[in-house]
Amino acid sequence: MALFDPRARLRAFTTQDWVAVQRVVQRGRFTLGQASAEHSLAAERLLAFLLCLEADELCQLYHRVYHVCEAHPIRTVPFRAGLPSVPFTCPECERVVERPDELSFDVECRIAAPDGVQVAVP
Amino acid sequence: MPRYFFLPLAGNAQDDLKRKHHAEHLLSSDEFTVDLLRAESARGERGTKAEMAATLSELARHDSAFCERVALAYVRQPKTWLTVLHGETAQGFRARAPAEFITDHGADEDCFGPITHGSALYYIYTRSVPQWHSEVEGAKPTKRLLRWTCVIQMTRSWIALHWNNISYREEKAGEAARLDQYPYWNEVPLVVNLVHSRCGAEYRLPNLLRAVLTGAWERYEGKPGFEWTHERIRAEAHGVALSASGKKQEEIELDASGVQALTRAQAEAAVDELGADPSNIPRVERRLLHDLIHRWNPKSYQFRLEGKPAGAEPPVRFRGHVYFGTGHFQVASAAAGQFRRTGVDALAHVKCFSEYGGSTGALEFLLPFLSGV
Repeated sequence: MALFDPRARLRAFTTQDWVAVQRVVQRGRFTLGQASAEHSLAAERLLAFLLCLEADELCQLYHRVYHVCEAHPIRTVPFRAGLPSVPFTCPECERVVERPDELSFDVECRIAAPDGVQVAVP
Repeated sequence: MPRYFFLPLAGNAQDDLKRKHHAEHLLSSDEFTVDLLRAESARGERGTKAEMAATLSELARHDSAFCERVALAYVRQPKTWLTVLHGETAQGFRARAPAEFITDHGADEDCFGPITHGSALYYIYTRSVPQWHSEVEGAKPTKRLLRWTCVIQMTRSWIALHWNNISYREEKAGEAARLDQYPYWNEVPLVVNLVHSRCGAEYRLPNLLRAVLTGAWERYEGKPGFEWTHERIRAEAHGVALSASGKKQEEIELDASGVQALTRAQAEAAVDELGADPSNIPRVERRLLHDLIHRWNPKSYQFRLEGKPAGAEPPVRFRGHVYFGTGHFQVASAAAGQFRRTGVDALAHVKCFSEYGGSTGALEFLLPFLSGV
């Protein structure tokens, strides 16, 4: 199991936050939206944690991009590719997406370490 | 029942007439039930709701104690929507006199209270929502006012927000606006901010996933004497969105309802395909149902629970559509790198049903499972 030590980078984390992220990484694949609600952790904090995890090459992050036309994502792209620039044609409804507020996103995390990750906590 | 759609009197009208005018309009709107008006009317008084509202508004003109009593009855009346936030509140705050909730429409954003009842303090938060309206098509539109109202029930360790939602037309230049649900998910954080700024307390949104799918589930689901019915689920896993409800159960013709109809059909197919003993169907169905509800990242889940615990405890009744607050995000400020959840899934909250006690009944059921969250 890979040991991950982000303590120096996440000094603002509370004890509760550390407990939450230890639980979050037990799932091999999860989304920011779901995991933050499930573990009562602010989405901004969880994203900060995930970016550290990705920087240490222990996970891959993706943007799931949603259009108002459908409940499922219209595309999934590597996180660092960013959100698509408008205008573009939605592959689902084939309409031109003109405004960014027609889109929403989630961040998907896939743990890369084959035996999972153990988080070092203060 | 008419909705609240207020046309104020001219600015130069007498103050007591303005008070009566607002009270009459409010009391006859669907924010107030006939039973509530009857309870506040003089003994034996009968008549239509409009007649009772007219009589009571005459009292509201001068009698602020009467208005405060009606405001108390209003805050205790169950609503359709509910959320509960945990946070220590040492003491309440001062706001506009509660009686004025009955006699005045209020400012763009306003707050009335406190009203004390038992160990709780109640506040009434209002948002004015202007609407341009033509009585007759083609006539010059006049400005009318809708009001979104949220009751804040405050105790030392939690606050509960209860509200009925309103329909409105978002006014966009050059577009024919359609009647839409008022976006309360944008308003509720403002209510919480107001309480936070006045009391200094930090409030945490409820973990309804844990309360419902762990706490209540482990206590009641499948237990003797309790009937737990899975009515509806919206979920998304591995990029696949699922929405199952009980609306078409008659077509499926199974002795199960809602989400169970789906998992029963899957279990039968799986057992048949494997050539397994059909007696395995209930076990496979239960496993599928559990996986679907617990592991498919539910966004919202509606269920009904009825039962009677052993001993002298009162019966348990709950029905609610629980939104877990797991929604997607939108960029709020690209420059500041801020994002926030969007839409109805932005907020952990519950749609309640009046025959199951509305928001007050749902609060009573959920509180034991929310403590310490």
